[in-house]
Amino acid sequence: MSNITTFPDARVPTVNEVRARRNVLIQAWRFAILNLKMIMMVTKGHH
Amino acid sequence: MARTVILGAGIAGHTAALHLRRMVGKEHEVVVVAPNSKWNWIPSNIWVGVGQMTVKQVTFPLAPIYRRKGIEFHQALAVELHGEGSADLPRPHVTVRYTDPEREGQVAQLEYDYLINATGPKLNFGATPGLGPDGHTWSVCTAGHATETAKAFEDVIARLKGGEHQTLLIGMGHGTCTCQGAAFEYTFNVEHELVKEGVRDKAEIIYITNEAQLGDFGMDGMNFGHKGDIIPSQMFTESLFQERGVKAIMSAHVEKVEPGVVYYEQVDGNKGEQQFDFAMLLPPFRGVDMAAFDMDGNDVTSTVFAPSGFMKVDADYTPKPYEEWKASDWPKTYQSVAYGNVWAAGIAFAPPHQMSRPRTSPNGTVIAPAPPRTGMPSGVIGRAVAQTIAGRIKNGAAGKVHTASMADMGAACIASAGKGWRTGQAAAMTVFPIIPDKEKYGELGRDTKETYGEIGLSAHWMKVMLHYLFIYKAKARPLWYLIPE
Ligand SMILES: Cc1cc2nc3c(=O)[nH]c(=O)nc-3n(C[C@H](O)[C@H](O)[C@H](O)COP(=O)(O)OP(=O)(O)OC[C@H]3O[C@@H](n4cnc5c(N)ncnc54)[C@H](O)[C@@H]3O)c2cc1C
Repeated sequence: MSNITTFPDARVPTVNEVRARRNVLIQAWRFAILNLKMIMMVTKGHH
Repeated sequence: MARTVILGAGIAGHTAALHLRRMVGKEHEVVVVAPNSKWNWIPSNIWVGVGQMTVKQVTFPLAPIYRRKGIEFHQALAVELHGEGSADLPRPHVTVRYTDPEREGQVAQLEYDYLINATGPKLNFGATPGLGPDGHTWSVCTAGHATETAKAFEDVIARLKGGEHQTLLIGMGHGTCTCQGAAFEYTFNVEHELVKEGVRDKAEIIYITNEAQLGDFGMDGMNFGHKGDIIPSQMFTESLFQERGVKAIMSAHVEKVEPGVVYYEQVDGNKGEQQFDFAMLLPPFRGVDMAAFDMDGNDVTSTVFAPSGFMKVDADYTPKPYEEWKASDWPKTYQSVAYGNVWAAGIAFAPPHQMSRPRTSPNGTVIAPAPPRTGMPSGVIGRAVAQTIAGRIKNGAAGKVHTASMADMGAACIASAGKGWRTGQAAAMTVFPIIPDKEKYGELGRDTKETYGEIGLSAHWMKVMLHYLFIYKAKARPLWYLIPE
């Protein structure tokens, strides 16, 4: 017997969202933001 | 002169050793005991497991680094802890058994003033019959395992190219596993490689997990703040599964594995079996097999270690129902309950309870993801313990006690979903605090401004950057200590 679940109701990204996730310029900007977020998180986590 | 012995040279132990060496004068000894000759950046093992990195890229020899830094290194396994000393050796000591080829099997006693237990997990493949590389499934937990897995994966690709259909099963090999993040990463890296090879349409990928919902990750899920809205990690994760066509078997405890088939039970008591052509299933973790003895040679293992084999520290281990669990139950200093000069850092400490709600099937099978202790907290705890010991060495009992509670600490996790400079993808997730604190942050238990998730190429670049950054740091190259844990 198999009890495999699929997720047909899950919201999948739109074509534009997928493009944005791959666009080098947008992602370079996101990379900078992510770095900032990580630095803030790390600073908060170190005592 | 003080002598600190550190058991384990993983993220926690190696971090502690390097920091302690930097913080105390050369007259004080820092000693590391670890069974492997090489350091391994474990998070990149998933790339080794799909043939996108080699063992050489994720490991390096420890001995030259320790020689350069003035750290004494014993390639050995710690097997016994004598925290009060023993009749023939009154100073506290550990008994070790050498694993390096020159002294293999020899036993020695290493005395200490301070001890850090950073022995990480024992990969408990034995908990599920047939699980693991000695059974019928693959693993990416060590660089060696991942290399074997990559070869098997290569065979799968060859069969797919030959027109065969293949079922790939990836996930958790037991109802009490942790490290769902690693299985998630491996799933999507496999999927990514199959797309690259042009054979995705012939492969079925199934993720099997002990989580009640996708995105639980053993930490009761997360709620990401996004432009004023809250996006549960369940929604975030299900979206990726749907987008990439990955199916799942949820709330499952794998009972046994036979060639090409796993037998599992779900939390509702349903029993099932799943055929596979290739399976990478993670084992549950337990503490390494170390016994503890008092001065008279009596076995005090159950006082020093929890039944899980992890070391008991300054946590509240009183059994209580899920609703009464508190962030303050979690340890702060990681000092052993039994000895004032022993600490446990990284995975080696016994958590007071799970973070996800534990569930039991009608047949009494426990299906409860264990709490994850990822790289960042392991490193932060390793450093905090090293700072406490440095303070003790310099100022005696008046030395500052450093704390690193996971209820007070955030974590960043980059989960790879495919490698490639232009085609790579990863999910970047930050969470604050790691342990939900409903008293401080309300029903959601976490700060939704600091708890954040994003998928994209930039997160993949971040994962690659962290790979090089942490290997640079672990090699103790110039200014390594400026790189945070
Ligand atoms: C496949 C995989 C992928 C992962 N990916 C990520 C990720 O992307 N991000 C993240 O944050 N975390 C990740 N993790 C988790 C991360 O690897 C752990 O949090 C981290 O390694 C824990 O550090 P540690 O020092 O406690 O244990 P380890 O790093 O496991 O180190 C334990 C050390 O103790 C040694 N040892 C064992 N037994 C003995 C003994 N008896 N005596 C002496 N020494 C002993 C071992 O050889 C080793 O040197 C991943 C884990 C896995 C398995």
